[in-house]
Amino acid sequence: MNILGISALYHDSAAALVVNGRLIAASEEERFTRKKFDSGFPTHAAKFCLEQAGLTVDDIDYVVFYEKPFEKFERILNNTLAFFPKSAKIFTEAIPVWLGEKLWFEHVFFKSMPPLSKAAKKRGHEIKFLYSDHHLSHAASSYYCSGFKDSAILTVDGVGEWSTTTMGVAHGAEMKIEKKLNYPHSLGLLYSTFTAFLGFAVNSDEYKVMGLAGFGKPTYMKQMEQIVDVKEDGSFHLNMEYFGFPYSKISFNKKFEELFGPARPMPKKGESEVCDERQKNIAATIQRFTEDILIKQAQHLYEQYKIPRLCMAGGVALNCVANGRILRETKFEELYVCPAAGDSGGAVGAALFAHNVLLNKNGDGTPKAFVPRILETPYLGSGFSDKEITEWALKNKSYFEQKNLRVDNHTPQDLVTKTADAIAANKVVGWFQGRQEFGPRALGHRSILANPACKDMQEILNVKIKHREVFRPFAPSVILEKADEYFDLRGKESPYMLLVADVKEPHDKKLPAITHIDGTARVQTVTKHSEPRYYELIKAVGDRTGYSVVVNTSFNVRGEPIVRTMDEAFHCFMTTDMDVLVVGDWVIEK
Amino acid sequence: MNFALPVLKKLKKGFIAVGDFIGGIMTRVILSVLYITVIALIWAIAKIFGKQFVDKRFGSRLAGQGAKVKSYWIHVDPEFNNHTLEKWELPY
Repeated sequence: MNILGISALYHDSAAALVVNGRLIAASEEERFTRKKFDSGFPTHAAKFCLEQAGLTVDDIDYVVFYEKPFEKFERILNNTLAFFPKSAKIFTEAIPVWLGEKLWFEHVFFKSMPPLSKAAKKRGHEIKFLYSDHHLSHAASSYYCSGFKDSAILTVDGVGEWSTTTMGVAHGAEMKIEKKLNYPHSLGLLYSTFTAFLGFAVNSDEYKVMGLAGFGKPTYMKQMEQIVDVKEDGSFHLNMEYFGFPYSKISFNKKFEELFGPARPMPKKGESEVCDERQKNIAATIQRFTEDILIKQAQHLYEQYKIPRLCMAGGVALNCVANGRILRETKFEELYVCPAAGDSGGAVGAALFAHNVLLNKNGDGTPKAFVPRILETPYLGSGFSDKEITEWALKNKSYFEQKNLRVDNHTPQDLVTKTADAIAANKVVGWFQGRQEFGPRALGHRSILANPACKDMQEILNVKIKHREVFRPFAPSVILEKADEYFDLRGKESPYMLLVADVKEPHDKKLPAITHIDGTARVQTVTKHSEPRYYELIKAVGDRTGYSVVVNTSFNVRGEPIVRTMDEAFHCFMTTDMDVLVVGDWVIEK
Repeated sequence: MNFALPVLKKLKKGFIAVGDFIGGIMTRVILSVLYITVIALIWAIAKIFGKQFVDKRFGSRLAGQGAKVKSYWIHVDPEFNNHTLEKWELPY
């Protein structure tokens, strides 16, 4: 049974392929089109998924869309009525797109994908279309990848059809959503409102607010109580007198500015990115407020089901500071967050839910035994074989030499030694290996690596390589055996870089490039099993520096998606101050 | 007569042009009044009935309901968790 999951037409479009219950491939469309957060139909990603499995459109049994478009449209109509006439402008802008495209997913699919072959039509093959629910897709993306046999479920994002937050429980294959909060009362939209207020881009720069929060103090909690009414069980209502998102592209209004002061305009290219104390404190406030709500929700969830395992998903589940606090401060002992917790992960969840609940049945219609599967790897995107990489290197060798670059092919052991030497010598390394990651984090296949013990490295990376705001921290990758020695992870793994933990003393002083101003780090733990080459590299760096840790930041520059191909990696290498590029077994040095 | 005919023709053309001009304005005025009336009607209906209808769906969409309410969680209709292929085939 071949099931293609699709999330599209809002933001972070993606496709995922599930073959007989196994997730074979998944990718965001932006990696192919180079358009960040691409919202179009994921034609390239879907074609890639099929190619990866050696399939064509003829082999697809089911296509599952990650939400119910008509329910979402109903919410938009209701929203227009509720906030009429202020909402008239955004309604007139939205209507053509909805009537022209968003409501007719099947039409968009056939317009975007190659047609069925004549042979397939002749044998009567038809692709069947299914429609999931937005938050159910999120929940499934986490639970069916967690390997748990039962779990509590919490999904939190901006908005799906109507829901903004859901909680429920899963036992075996069965998953139940039992409580929810509806639009416009949304934690995701609340956080996005502050993102816009602080001069960052909505649905994209929320993690910058999280980074900025470390520099401030939560001094605006009283004002927060005025705009959000939070109950002890974590449910809440927004006071809509302060928000503009139902009827305007600017999600806060004048009253909001009267309460928090003037908004910070989005800096233009070349303008100073510096934030003042007030803005830092507001960032710290919304971050703390969000964490507090999530902790209340998680506690309420635990009290309800008494299951020590929690699966989280939705854009807000990417808030790794909050995730760290949930693990430390609630009774949950295990937390699983899908590496693509945002909307792109909805493609995976929709397909896995369809398999596990609707289609995995015996001939008589009874469900087959549920086998909990853990996500085998986050490296589900496109990749290149050693042969393809060698062909690329040889084809471009004369060009590299013309640019005075040193190019060499190495054995795997030599490659690790040479790269570790470079990192220990405080060089910045572009690391391009295997298939790329699914989800927003680079996890050691499309990464820029550096020495975390170098005190200037944070500034070098921010200013010379990534061209981004100076306040933004960098994350470490650490081998699992050493993780608890340096970080307060309390024995937990963080394979997808979705947990923030305190850096233990005295290592916080010794690892300045990955220690945020508040003494924390967003950790990725690496095991030999999960990524052998990356593991060996970090270990080799440890032999040289005394710390089995590297700085790991995504292989891209500001405003661009993570690189996918060798050419994109090389272009990024040449247009920044990176020192070394490692592609497969090839090393290119400036 | 030979002299007057072209003048009369010009006058006739002039009258027609003035008539067209006035007719055009009248048409636009009538259409504008109709347009404004329709918009005003929709506006009034939306304001009067829309709010009641939507408040049901949105719950308390303005300020929170405050101390009276212990929890804002909405209990999901159990039917939502009854998943069948037939239900999933529908985009709503």
